[in-house]
Amino acid sequence: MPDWIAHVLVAWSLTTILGFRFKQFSQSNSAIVIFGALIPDIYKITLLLDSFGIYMHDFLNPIHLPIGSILIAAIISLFFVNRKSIFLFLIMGISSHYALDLLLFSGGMEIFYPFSPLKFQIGIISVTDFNITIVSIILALSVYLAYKKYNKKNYFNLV
Amino acid sequence: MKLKPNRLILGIIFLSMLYLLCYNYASEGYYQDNSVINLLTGYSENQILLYGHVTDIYKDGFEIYNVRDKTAYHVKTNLKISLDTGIYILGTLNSNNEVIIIKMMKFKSEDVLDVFFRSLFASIIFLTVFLRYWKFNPKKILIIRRK
Ligand SMILES: [Zn+2]
Repeated sequence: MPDWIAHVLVAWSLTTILGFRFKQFSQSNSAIVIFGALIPDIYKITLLLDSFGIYMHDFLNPIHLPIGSILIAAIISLFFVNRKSIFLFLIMGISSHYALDLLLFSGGMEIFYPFSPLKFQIGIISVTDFNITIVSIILALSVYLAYKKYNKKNYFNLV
Repeated sequence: MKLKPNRLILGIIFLSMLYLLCYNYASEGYYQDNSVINLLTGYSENQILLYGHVTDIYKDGFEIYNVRDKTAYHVKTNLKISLDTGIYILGTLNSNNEVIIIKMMKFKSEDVLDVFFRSLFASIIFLTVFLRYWKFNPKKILIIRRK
């Protein structure tokens, strides 16, 4: 699957581009979107558990399905004051995560679980493909340069 | 420390929903381990897929504790394997939980390390951005915007 570098950079680029047009997409909210983009991969804790001989793949897999990620986002948003808007920013990050993961070929994901057990995936990138990370680095760098140009004076003050 | 009751109630509700979802998913047996898909080719009814650690060594093989059904199996082989090795085995099941290996694969710890380091790097980027704009208030148990 695209690694966290790709997920973080794509989420950041997306919100920064939207921030050119909409002031809601500030850098502080962009941090929340990035947070959201990492939620599905909380599931990767299973790899760590494997090394202790604990098999939790089947139990924890729903975290890497939209419905499970949405529930995690709901739990996380309870730790914020503006729960609703935080929840929506987290959902946006989660969506960017699945948009990237859907490009892969890794056996498919039951994205409509529990409503449908069908697995979906476009399957144009192999799991071990590092190119998606490189593309996301190039994207983020371009967005960063555009952002700097757009907001030269108060980059570090913008909240 | 103050936690508003409605936050607590919502938290419990969401956690229970998540637990039910995971429980339901696991019990429906939907999960297919993508990492063992190679092993699964040609997987037929009298064959068994084991996943776990070596728990004992015998003269004629070893014992593996299969985490999928929480049962110990006696694997007959003359392959030398050390205690605690994590393995996947596709085999045929005989009586007395004896298994003859068809294919065997060790857990790849390099994969885990690779994911770990790349994720660690991304976590640093994330935390740098996040902590720049947000901080945790332990008294209110809330994450608040930095001014
Ligand atoms: Zn993923």
